[in-house]
Amino acid sequence: MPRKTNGNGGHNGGHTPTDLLISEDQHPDFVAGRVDDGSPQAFTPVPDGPIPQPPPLGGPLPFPRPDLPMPGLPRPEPFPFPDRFPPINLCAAVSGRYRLVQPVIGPVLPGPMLPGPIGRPVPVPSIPLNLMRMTVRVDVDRFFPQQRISVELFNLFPRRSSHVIADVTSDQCLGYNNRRVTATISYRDGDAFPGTTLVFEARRTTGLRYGMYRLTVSGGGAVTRSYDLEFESTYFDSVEFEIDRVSNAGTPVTSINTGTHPNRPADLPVETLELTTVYQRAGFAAYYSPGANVIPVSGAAANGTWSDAEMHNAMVTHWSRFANKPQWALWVLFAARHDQGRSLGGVMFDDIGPNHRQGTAIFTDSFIQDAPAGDANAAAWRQRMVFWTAAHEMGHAFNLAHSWQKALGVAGGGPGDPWIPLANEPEARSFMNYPFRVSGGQASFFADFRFRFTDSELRFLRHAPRRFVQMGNANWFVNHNFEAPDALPQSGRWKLAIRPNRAQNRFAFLEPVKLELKLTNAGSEQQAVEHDLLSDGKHISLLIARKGGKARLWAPFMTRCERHEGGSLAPGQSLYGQHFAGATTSGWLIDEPGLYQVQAAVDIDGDIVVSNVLEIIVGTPAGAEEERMAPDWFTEDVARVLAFSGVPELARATDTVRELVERSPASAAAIHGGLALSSPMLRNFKVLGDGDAPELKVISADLDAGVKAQIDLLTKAPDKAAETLGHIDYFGALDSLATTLKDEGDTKRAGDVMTKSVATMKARNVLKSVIDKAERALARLK
Amino acid sequence: MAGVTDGLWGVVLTGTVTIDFQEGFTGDDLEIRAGHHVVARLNPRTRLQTGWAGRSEIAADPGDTLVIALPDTGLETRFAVPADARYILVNRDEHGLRITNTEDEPGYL
Ligand SMILES: [Zn+2]
Repeated sequence: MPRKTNGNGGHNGGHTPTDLLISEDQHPDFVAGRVDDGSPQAFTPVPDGPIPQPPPLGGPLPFPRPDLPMPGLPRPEPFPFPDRFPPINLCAAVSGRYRLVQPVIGPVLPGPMLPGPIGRPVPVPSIPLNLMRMTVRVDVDRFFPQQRISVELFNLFPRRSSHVIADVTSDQCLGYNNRRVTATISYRDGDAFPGTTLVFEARRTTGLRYGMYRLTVSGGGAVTRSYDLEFESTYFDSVEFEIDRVSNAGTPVTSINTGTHPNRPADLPVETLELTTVYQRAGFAAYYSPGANVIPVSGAAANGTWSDAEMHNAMVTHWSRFANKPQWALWVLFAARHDQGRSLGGVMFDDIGPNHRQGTAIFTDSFIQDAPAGDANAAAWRQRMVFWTAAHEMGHAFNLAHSWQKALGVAGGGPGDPWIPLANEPEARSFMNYPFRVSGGQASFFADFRFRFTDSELRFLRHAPRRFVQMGNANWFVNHNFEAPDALPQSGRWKLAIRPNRAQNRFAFLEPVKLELKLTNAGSEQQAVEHDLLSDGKHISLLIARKGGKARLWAPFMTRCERHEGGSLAPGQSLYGQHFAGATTSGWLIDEPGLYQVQAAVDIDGDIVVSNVLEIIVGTPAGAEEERMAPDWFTEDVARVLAFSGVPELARATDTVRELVERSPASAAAIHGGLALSSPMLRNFKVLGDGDAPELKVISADLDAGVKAQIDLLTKAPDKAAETLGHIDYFGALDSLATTLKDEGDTKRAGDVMTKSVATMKARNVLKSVIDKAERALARLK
Repeated sequence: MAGVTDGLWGVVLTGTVTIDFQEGFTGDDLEIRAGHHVVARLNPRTRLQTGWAGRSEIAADPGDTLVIALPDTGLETRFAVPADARYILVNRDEHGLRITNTEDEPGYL
C-alpha cells in the first residue's frame, strides 16, 4: 500500500522521517466529497437501511471512511438552531477504481437426457471463469478531479475488448451518501462497449457508509444494463518504482520539501513530497520497491559515462523486477553522467528491446545542478530541480510527452501521435514542461509550479487505455487468461448444462472426448435465441482444466454459418449441441489420463450463461500398444482428421488413424477413426453429371466399401457407437449414410439404416421430437 | 565568412557556434552551408523523450550567414550568426525551419 509518510525504502533524500506530508483531509487540493443543497431525497430511507438520522451535531461528520473526512467543504456546524437541522446533502468521496462484482456460479442440475447419473451437482467453487472483466475508474473528487468516468471491458467471447471515457455531465448528492454521477461517452477504443451514457451510483445500504455501487449503461439504441460494482481502491492503478543508483551518483533525491525554496506560489502547501506522493496524487497506488541496488561504475564504458545501451543492460542486470513484459513497474536510475554530456539531465532511455518505457535515468552530474547565478537558495534549487527531473523522466515512462509536444502528430498513429487530439501547453507549470522553456524562464515557472501534472496529463494517466500508459507498452490482457475469477452476474433466464453422452463420466485413454450442451429457457416467457447457438462453436466458450493444471480455452475447428438464424424457445424448451471438446485448433486439450473439469458458457445477446462444471475421468492406456501410439495420435493433424470426419490430404495423420483402427479395433477411438476413414468414401467424389438435366452422381469406386464400413461401424454395436460418438454425431452419421444410399437408388439399405437408427433412438430414450423426425424420414423412403 | 579565404585552403578558425537540432526531425539529410561550401552534413532525428535531434559545431563568426537545408524536402533557411549567442536552436514544424538562439547551453530532460 502506498505510504503517506516517507517510508521510501531507503531513498531518504536527506530529510527525517518526521517531515510533514499534509494529510488528505487538510490538503487544499483534495476534494473530500460533495455537498448539495438539501432536497426532499435527503435522508430518505433506502431499502433495508436504517432509519435515517442527520449527522450528529457538534462533532466530526460521520463520513463513511473515517480516514477521509471532508475538510474545505461547508460544514453544517455550528448550527444556530440545533433543533432545525438545515437541509443539506453530504456525500463522501467516490473517486477510485471499481470492478464488476464476481458472480456466484451456483450448482446446476442438468435434466437427464440419458438414463443414469450423467449430471452431478456442481462442485463449488468452479473453474474460475473470466468471461467478462470490467474495471470502472471514477474521477470526480479526491486529488485534482478530472470529472471523468472510464470503463475497461474485456469480453471472453466474442473475444474483444473495449475502453471508453465519459465526460461527467452531472454529479449529484441526492441524500446522505447517495451519490449519482452521469457522464457521456466521448472516447472509444474498441467497439465492444455499448451505449452512450453512464450513470454511476454510490449509495449507503445498511449503514452510513456507501454499501452499493452500480454502473448503468444506456443510450445509442443499446439495451440498458446495470452492473453491480465493488470498490477496489481509491487509486486507479498500482505502480512500483525501484530506485537504484550508480555508486558515484550521490544520494538519490526522491523527496522534496516544497517550502525550502523561496520562489514558489505563495499559497503552495509546505510539505515533504515523495516521488510516490506525486504519483499517488496523479491517481496511482505508487510505492517504492524494497530492492534498491547500488550499481558499480564499471557498468558504464571506460570513460564512466552512460550510453542508453549500457543503462539498458544495467536495468536487465540490476532491476529486481526486470521482465520483458508489460508491468506496472518502473526502474529509476540515478547516474552521474550520460555519454551525451552535461547537457542531458535525464532521459527515459528505454526504447530498446521489445518492451519500452521500463527504465528512466537522472544524471546528477549535469546541468540540472546549475542553479541560476545569485539564486536565493542554490542548494534548495538544485534539490528541487533533481526531484523535478526524476518526476519528469518517470512521467515519460508513463508515456507522457513534453508539454510543447502534445499536438505533435504523425499520420497513421506513428511514433509521437497523441492518443487524442491535444493542444500544446507550452506555458504549463507541469512536471512535463521544461522550466527554462516557458516565457520568463525558470523563475517564472517555479513561481507558479505546484508539483503536479496538468489536467490533460492526468486524464491520460488515469483514463487512457491502459496499454498506452503501462510500462512495457502492450495490451494488458495479452498475458492474462483465467487467473482472475471475474465473471458476470447471471440473469437466471437461461440454464446451460454440459454432459457426456454416457452413464459414467469416464473416457478411454485415446478416445476423443465429445460433450453435449443443452440450453434451456429457464424463464417464464418465450425467449428469442439463434437456433445454431449451440451447434456452431463460435458462440460457445469451453474451459478445460486437468485437475491441478491451468484452465485452457477451447475453440472450435470450424464455425458453420455466418448468417443469424432466428428462433425462439418456449419456457422449459431446450436447444442441443455437441462438440469435440477433447481437441482445439492448437491441439489436444484432453490427452492424458486423469481428472478433468470442463465448463461451458454461451453469450446470448450479452447475457453470459455459464454451465455446470463437468468432471470427467480419462483412463490409463489399455496396454503398451496404446501408450506407444499416443504421441502420434495426440497431434493437431489427427485431431483435424477426426473433427472433420476425414481429411485425406493429411496423409500421415490418416495413416495414424488407420493404424489405430487396425491395431486397436475394439477401442472407442477406433469408432471415431473408422468414421473418419470411411466418410470421405461417401462424400468426396460427388460431381455434377453431364446432360441437359445435370444430376448429382457419386462416382466413387470406394462407395461400396465406405457404405459397408459404416454399416458395420454404426449398426453392429449401436450403443457403443452412440455412446462414444454422442447422439448428435451418431444419428447424424446414420442419417447421412441413409441419404447417400437413397441418392444411389438403394432405398432398401437406406431404409434398413433408418430403421436401425429409429430403434436405437428409442432404446436410448432420445427426445420424441427427434424420433418423430427420423420416422418421417423413414416413411419417405418406403 | 570569417577566417575563410574564398577558393583557397587556408582556413583560420576565429569562432565557433553550436547548432542544436531539436524538435521535428525525422532523419532526413541535412546540410549546413556557409557561402557555397557545405560545412556539415547530418541526419538529425528527434528523440521525443528529450526533444533533441543532434548537434553540430560550426566555425563561424558573428554576422556570418549560414544556411540550413533539407535538400530532399526543399526546406531551407538562412540566418546571420548573432553576436551575443553561442547556441543556435533549430526546430522544424509545419511552417518550416525555425531558428532561435541562446547564450546558455541548452539542456535536455
Ligand atoms: Zn523529457
